[in-house]
Amino acid sequence: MWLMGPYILRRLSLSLMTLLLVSIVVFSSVRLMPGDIVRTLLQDVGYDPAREAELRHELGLDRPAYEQYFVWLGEIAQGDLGVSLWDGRDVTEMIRARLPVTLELALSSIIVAILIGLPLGVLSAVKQDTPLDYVARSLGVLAISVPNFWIATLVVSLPARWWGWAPPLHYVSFTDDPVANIKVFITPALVLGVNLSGSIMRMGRSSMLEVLRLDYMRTARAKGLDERVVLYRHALRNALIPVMTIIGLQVAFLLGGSVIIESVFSLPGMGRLMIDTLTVRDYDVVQGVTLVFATIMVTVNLVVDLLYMVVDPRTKLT
Amino acid sequence: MKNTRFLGARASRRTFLRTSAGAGVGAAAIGLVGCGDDDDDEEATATAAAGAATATATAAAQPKRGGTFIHSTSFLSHLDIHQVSYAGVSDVTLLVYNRLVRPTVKDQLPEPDLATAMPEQPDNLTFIFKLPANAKFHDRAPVNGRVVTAEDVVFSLQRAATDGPTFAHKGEIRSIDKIEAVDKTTVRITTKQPDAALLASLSLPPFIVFAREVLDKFPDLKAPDAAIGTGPFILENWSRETGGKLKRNPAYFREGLPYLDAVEQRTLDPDPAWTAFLAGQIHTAAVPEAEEKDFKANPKFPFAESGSHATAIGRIMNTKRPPFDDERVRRAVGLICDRDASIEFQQFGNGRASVCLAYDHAFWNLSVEETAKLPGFGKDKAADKKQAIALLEAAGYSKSNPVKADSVAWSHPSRQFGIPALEYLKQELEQGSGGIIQASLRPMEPTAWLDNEARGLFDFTTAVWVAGIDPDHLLSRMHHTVGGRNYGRISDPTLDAMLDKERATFDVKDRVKQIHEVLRYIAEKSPTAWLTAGPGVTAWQPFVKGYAATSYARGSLENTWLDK
Repeated sequence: MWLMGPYILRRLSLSLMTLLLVSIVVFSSVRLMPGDIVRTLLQDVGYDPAREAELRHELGLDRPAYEQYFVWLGEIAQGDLGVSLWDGRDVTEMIRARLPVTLELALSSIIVAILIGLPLGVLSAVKQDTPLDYVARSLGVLAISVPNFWIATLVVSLPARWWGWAPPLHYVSFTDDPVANIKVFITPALVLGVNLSGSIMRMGRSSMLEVLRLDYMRTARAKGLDERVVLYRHALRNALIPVMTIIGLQVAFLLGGSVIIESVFSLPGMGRLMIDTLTVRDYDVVQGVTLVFATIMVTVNLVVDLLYMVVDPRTKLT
Repeated sequence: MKNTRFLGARASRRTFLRTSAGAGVGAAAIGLVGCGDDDDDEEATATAAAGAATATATAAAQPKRGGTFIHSTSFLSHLDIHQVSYAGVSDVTLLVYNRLVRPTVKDQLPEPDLATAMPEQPDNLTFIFKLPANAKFHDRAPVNGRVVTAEDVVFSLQRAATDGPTFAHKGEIRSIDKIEAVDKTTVRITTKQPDAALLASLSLPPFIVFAREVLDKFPDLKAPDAAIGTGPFILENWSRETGGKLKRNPAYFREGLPYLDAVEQRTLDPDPAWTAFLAGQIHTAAVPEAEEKDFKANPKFPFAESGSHATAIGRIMNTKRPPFDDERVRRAVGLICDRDASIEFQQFGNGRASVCLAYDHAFWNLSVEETAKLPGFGKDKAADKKQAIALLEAAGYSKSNPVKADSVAWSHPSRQFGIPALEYLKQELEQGSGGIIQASLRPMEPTAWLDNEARGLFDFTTAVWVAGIDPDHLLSRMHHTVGGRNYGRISDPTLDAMLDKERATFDVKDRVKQIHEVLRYIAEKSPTAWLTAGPGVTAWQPFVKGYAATSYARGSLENTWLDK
């Protein structure tokens, strides 16, 4: 394990370089998009070049782009993500308000996905080519094939029209009312979780099948080990690495915000924030949110790589 | 940016994607019934009557006190109504603040709100308002329940008129020359020229009354702590992410009101809001446009027509660029547009033909029969198209030398302003002109589109607009040379003079006649080809009573009560 120190340091420095690159790409691309925050702000006042110039100066957007970039970078180095050009709110505060929603949705969804996908995958592998395997595989394909936003829309709108019932459509934070909060998240977590469970199930199954055919499994059985020990201690542990990769990617994806699910269930998460602010070209917020997304992505990848070594100490640090 | 906005603002999210925002309500339907001289079509009148009947029935019952009224609101940036489009923000501000005057439910003409009566008008330039002695601000720091004075009104209106780049509503009261506190309870407003629309403008949500001390303590009115007014409800908490909670103002100057103990506002987009309404989670919502017709035919809830999302659809032509700098080409487009087909396709069968004025402008608008006599608005489309082709040929265009129009719109699935609208438009123009007009379609992401439109980088676009209280609000903004939303770059001295004249006419009957002349002139010259006006439909739960708000948002809810 002592080898992990330099490895982590190397990965961290690579991560920082990635984030720097992301910052340049995001800063440039958001400004290259047609339309800008100043003209959006002036929409209600009526377009007037003099007003535009005045407001551009007021917001510091008349300075050269590279200057604006270094100012922003300097602020980030001090832990300040800037303020919204649209309404003057602190970007860090905005993200702080939205991140818990996205985190809760992501974690609850991934728990549902693991609880459904992993056992189903293992069972399917162990009972290969039995009716149970066929059913499980069909369910897995179905879960992957049906878009989650479609299921979400049906789940939300049809019961309301038929029976006058809908899942709660108003976000309540856990600290305000834990029970109400759980009720709010149950349905979106199930919708997302079931959708994600398909790929976990399929990856779990194929990985298990691969491991079950290896020599050491035969040896374990020949030693007279209990079948459960063989499966869970020897097979599953080794089969988990590719599954973890999938789960890691899914967590990173979910933490980036599930825009459509957040919209359908009216959850004020990061995805909604990104879309709302991108629509008005609120540069600092878009940049801040993207940087947070990128940081999450990089961190999750790093954590998953480190977990490989915990699950399988034979994994080489490369 | 939900922003469903009024006053010549583009109907945005609610009407289309994000919003509907929540819904403005409006009981212009009631206004339709109230205006006996209106000759609207029978179906509209019948459905309006249904809404009105519901409202009348509820008004007759004995109001009960208590309860929490729950409704949806859109994602708002902040609460400083002077610095933002106000449809969404007015959900909060109309409950927290009063204005000098407010629009009536019946016909949207102004009536006293904070003022004790309509202003004295010793001449056409002077308006003298009296304030009540018992109107107090909410009992919160820094005002702590003190009495409202004329100085507060002066300060508030001056702040609304701030000449800053983000102050969005100063143009609405640009005719004001001076605002003075004559004494503690008397305010005198003097205008630079006669402005018959001023009182209607002052009844708009941005012209709230608040205390100077608030801006001494806070940098602006954006934060919920700064939302201190004289209104029927006190803001307890608010967040952009989830909405707000308001409690009854026990010291409200209208004794005995409001009936509700509290109001809860939940941040929801339009579609989830409608679902939440059907599931009983909220008490009112806008009926989705595609479902309005069916809903009205078989209403399961009380409802009213019109409101903040009542819309007018038009084709904006850039009059400063070829080919639409040629009046003959614009007139040809006006003739080709098929209003009946547009009602069916773009308004989902729920609307009427109209020149610029929105559905809730029935009081001011030409009747359906009179509108049908305007060029391009009649039933004989074959004759219109023949005339259109003749105009195009006279302008030098033919199949071998076609009119090429660069058409832009939002890349959105809306039939009113999105890609389907553009495709519909292309087909209509090409078929109607016998192939002489060839439209190229350029769907754009919303902000890019608005940017192009604002800078005149287009030939042609289709748009949907929601209107203000007064017809001049939309007419002038869209057609006057100095109009804030004159995206077609229209500059017609005759039209400017007509608009200036109607705005200076105080006699309502005379003004209606002049506005009708303006509408006829616009239909004839076709600087913009206007098509239709559609109502919004707002429904509420059967136990909600006294819910007859003005045409924007929900009014103050001061007469609303829950029968349960």
